Amino acid sequence: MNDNGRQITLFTNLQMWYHKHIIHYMIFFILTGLPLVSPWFHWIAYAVGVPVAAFSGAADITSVGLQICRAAHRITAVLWIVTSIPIVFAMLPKIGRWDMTPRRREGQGWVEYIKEGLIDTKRVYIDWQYPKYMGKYNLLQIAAAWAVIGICLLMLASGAVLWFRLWFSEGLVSVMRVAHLAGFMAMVVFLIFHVYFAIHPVNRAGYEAMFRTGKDSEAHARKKHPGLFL
Amino acid sequence: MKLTRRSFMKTSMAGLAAAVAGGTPPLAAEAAVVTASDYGVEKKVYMNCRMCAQFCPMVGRVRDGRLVSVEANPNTPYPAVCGRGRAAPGALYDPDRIKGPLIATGEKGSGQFRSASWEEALDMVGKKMAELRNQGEAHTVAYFPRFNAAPGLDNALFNLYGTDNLFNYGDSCYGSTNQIGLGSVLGGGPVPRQGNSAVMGDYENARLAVLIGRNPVGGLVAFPWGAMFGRGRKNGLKTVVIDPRKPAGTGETDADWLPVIPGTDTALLMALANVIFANKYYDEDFLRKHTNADMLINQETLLPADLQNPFEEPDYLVWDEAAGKAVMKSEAEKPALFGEYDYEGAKVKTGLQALIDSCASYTPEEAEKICGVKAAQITKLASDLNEARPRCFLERGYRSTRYFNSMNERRMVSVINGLLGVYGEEGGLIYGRNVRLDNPFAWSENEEETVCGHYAENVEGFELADPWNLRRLFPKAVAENRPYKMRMAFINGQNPVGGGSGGWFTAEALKKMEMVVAVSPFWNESLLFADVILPDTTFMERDEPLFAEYKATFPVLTVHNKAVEPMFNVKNGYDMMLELARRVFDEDEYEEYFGDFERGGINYIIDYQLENLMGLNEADEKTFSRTGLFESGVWCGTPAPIKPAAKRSPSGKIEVYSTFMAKWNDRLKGEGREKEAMYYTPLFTYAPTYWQGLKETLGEDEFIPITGFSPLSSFTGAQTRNNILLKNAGESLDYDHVFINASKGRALGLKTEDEVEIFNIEMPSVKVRARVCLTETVEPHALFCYYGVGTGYFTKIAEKLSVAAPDGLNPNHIGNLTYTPVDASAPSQDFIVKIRRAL
Amino acid sequence: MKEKQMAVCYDSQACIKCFACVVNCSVENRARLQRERGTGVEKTMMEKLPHLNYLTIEKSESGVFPDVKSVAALKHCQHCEYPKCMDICPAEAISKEDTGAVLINRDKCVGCQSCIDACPYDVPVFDRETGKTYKCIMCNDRLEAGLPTACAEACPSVAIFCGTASDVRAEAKERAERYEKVFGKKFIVYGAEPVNSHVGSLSYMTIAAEENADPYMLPENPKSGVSIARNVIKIGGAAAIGAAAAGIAVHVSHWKKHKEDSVYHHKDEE
Repeated sequence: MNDNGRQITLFTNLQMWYHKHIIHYMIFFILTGLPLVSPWFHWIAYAVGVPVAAFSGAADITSVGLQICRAAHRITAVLWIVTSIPIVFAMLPKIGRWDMTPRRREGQGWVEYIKEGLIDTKRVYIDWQYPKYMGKYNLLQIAAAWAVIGICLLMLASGAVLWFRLWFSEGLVSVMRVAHLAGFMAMVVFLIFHVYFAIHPVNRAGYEAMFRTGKDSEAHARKKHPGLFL
Repeated sequence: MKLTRRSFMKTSMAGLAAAVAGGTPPLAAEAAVVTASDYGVEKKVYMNCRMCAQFCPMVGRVRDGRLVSVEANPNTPYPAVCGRGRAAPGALYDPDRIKGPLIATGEKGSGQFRSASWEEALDMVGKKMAELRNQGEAHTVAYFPRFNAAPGLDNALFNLYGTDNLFNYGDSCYGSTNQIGLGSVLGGGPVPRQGNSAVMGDYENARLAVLIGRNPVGGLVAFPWGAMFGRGRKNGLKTVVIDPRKPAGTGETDADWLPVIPGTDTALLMALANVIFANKYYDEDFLRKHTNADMLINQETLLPADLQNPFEEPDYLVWDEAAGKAVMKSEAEKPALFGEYDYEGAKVKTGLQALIDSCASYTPEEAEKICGVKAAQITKLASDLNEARPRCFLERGYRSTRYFNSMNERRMVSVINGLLGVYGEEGGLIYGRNVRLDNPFAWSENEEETVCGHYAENVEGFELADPWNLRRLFPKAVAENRPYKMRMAFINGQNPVGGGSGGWFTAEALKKMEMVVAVSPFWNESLLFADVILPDTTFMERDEPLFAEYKATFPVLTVHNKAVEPMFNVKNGYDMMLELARRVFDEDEYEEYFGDFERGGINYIIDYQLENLMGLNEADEKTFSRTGLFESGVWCGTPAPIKPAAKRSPSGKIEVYSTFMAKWNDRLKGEGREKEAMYYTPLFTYAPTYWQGLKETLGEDEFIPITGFSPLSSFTGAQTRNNILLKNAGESLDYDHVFINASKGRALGLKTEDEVEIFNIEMPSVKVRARVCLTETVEPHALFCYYGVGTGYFTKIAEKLSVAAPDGLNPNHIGNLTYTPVDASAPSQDFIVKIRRAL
Repeated sequence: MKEKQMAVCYDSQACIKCFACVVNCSVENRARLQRERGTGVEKTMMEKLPHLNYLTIEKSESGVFPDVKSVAALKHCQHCEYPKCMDICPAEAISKEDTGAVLINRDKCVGCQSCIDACPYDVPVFDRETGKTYKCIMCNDRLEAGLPTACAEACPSVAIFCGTASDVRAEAKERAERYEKVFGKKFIVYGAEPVNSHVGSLSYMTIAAEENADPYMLPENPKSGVSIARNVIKIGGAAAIGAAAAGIAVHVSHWKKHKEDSVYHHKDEE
């Protein structure tokens, strides 16, 4: 490979740190949330409840476990918000450089742009070739990113309403409850795709950047993310 | 005025012992075996409920010395305990109960008290009473009984002490309006008073009940009237409600509501009679057989043309259509029901004719102008009654004095029931039966005239007052120092300040007393004016003698036993009274009057009661036994026969044309008292309310204050007011609010939950605060509040009670000290109030 | 199971609105606290405990003076045949007993209030102090001991009655027919037959004039939007997740097939 040895930074240290935390949070959210979604996952609550019930002498182990799950779920949310604060302050001012907005070329119409973007994406994931126009993220990744930001905000908002449900009207609580569940389902679907593609060889460099170096070689980036250099 | 009570029969202990040969059966019936279904209840104790004053037969469930819950005694045909009764444990364990004797440290009304020992408190009271007695002034002690601490003993104590100035509560309840109103038609001696058990609606079998003046749901008497009403409704009873307010439970959605302007019910009733006559909806057969409709009366004097041997073996002049002349009824072949005739130079007519003529001008259209109810509704009601009779009735009422013309109302109701021929008919009005209990305590003939007796005999306007039920005379007599100065007040379970109209005046009168003593387990506003408060036990913490004053068609006797030990430092009323007696009577007197009771206890009274039980008929004797009574907690006898009967009336008949009223009408006219004669007349006349004398039309912000019982509240005592169990439910009804017509309220710029100030236009400085509720269920003239819930004017009481509503109206506090003409009853709603948004 | 099936019926026509039932229900629950939780009698009688008023009063008015209909209705759990609260409870704390009673197991309840969201009649009540949700239990403990429900026991009229489901239904039907004859309008026994497929029939039924169904809170077609939405999302979500997994599987095989000629197949780096 023709490598001039230069590296470009794809993710700052802060972003890498934050992403790792999000993974932890997501695991906690899912583990503590699943028992509330369905009794199929009560074994999680039971496992958590056994040691606590042994000390507190509570009557029903699953019930104790569920309470712990609910508490842990909320604590996780608080931690997530707390750790998000520096991120928000650090990243929001630089929103222009996220490279996460659709960027049409001069004179290009939306329809053409989208078609072009989809074809470009296909080139990567179906044809297993390098893309022609893709910047840091392809069109589907951009869409998914905004979707997941939206889902996260929805989960936080609906979660807050559910946590403090006595402050809100029953109608709002009912809507938020449904939204929280729907958001969860959407999040699981997103995560399935996200994790799959994250560990997929097609994204090897991205994986390295996200978890190890934060960087990619410029030579590789020119091939994989030509849009960055246009 | 001399008091003659029942005879006093002295029996020796030996005699008593013989009478109860075989040992005394246990007073408390206990569940021998505790089963799972009893949930650990160890004891079931028979009581009669005192959450209001109806004594409904009840069973208390006790575990570990605590009252867990209550249920109705199942051993009657109508087991019934209402919401109030079910909340009894809430009263027993009310943390705001008065826990020990209190002595005032501030001026009367300030609510400042300190704790004291029983010794100190009773010494204080005893010393004062002894002092007064020694000065020959025992009669200056005013005695106010109601929820007696020591039933049977306490009233006797005060009589023996030397005062018959007993100010009983009846004038603010059934007396005299309901008593004489019903009695003037049904009879009851020269001054005809019919009690509350005399006659009642056969709710269970009626097809149509006209609820005027009383709501059988909120209006107490769960046993048996509430239970009868419920069964009636199950059987398809239709109700028509004549009331300025549409109450829940009387038929919320299917009842015809005739929203009458407060105090104008008589106009409606006269129009009803008018339609009944016009369409011949009356029961002619009944009128002929059972009433004095055929009695000839003098058109000028309104008196009977010739009534001989009234009460004893009466006979009266009628027009014999067969003979074509006036003869005595016993000799007549075909007495006329209608017509005008000449007799010995005087113009006479039949009683029925007089009634017909007197309401001829009161067409439904005319009545509508006065009472606000649509003519069509009145006409329809008459027609419906005709269809349903004899299985229909107009409600016989209970607390009835609301306006100056309430007597007319009650009489007209009784007359119309006669016209429809429903007395003694199944589904109509049926008669009650009681057995009577005597009381072993001595009674003395006190020489000194009583305050009430004095007014009844000497003061115009009090002639027909019941001197034994005239508590509202107290403030007037004190203000006038007539016939002598009252010096002390002893309040025994009554709330004179809150319970009778003119409470403000009563408070002022109490302030003038040298000493005020109040006995009550709970705070009420009268206690604020006491110098000494003596807390007795609630009914659940004491044994009591037997009780028989029920309102059923069959006689009822109940047992009342102590469910739990007295709490805190309260005292069993009997012990309290004995300790008081020791301080007031000398040793010999004490032994003579109370020695037997001190040694024999409640059983002494009960033995005597059973020895002297009166009124059992043959059938009753077969079912009654002492053992049975104590095993079941209640005994029910045989019902009164269902057949029309008069109750010792002058003519011997049901007097649809009331000769008693005719007599009084004549007397009042003779004395030049034309105005009062409007209220004492046998005819259909519109007599105005007091408020109509003040104003013909009410202002935008003016109302007539009306009340009714909530089924979650009873009187002005805190057993229900401060009860968390009742408040939990009552809150959902906004039961501490005042209710006004929605559009009238909106016109005043008010909305529901606004705080308003309310005052009597004749006493504008005495203001009460309440929250208002705008509703479509109240006629625009009326301002409604549930009785006994609001704190009223004496807001200091709110500091003593943590659960009771801190605001709210009690109309009695701001009502006038006016008296209805001649019988001096309490016109509790007959004044005008103004409201405005509170600042 | 069928033999033990009990039922309660509230007859709004025979009801005299004395609210003895409301008070007695509260008293009985306080007695339960005494029996089961060892709370002192006095203490239970002093505390407000509004969540233990399983019967509550809902007053409503409609119309304009003087043509006004004013109702003080009793609100209580209907004990549905298909309890939506039971379906949604994440703690599996709610059960439908043989007697017909729908019970919230206090020990299992975690106070998440999902049942409140799911109930088509808006019945359960949450108590902040205990952190649990409560509703009428149809006095299941009393029914099993051969006693009437506390509300039926309290009624001094004959308006609330209980017994075997068939007896109750028969009595209710007879009364409704009588009322129809007397008052000339339709009376329903709400819950004797399935109200709709969503809730089924009810073990605590109500007799009322059909025209009064609204003030007595007897909706013709009770639905719990939350329950329905939740089921849709769970099924839809499961389907979506399944589809995603399947899609991934397809994509994996697609990679395997073509990885040799893929630019991303860094074979030498593996």
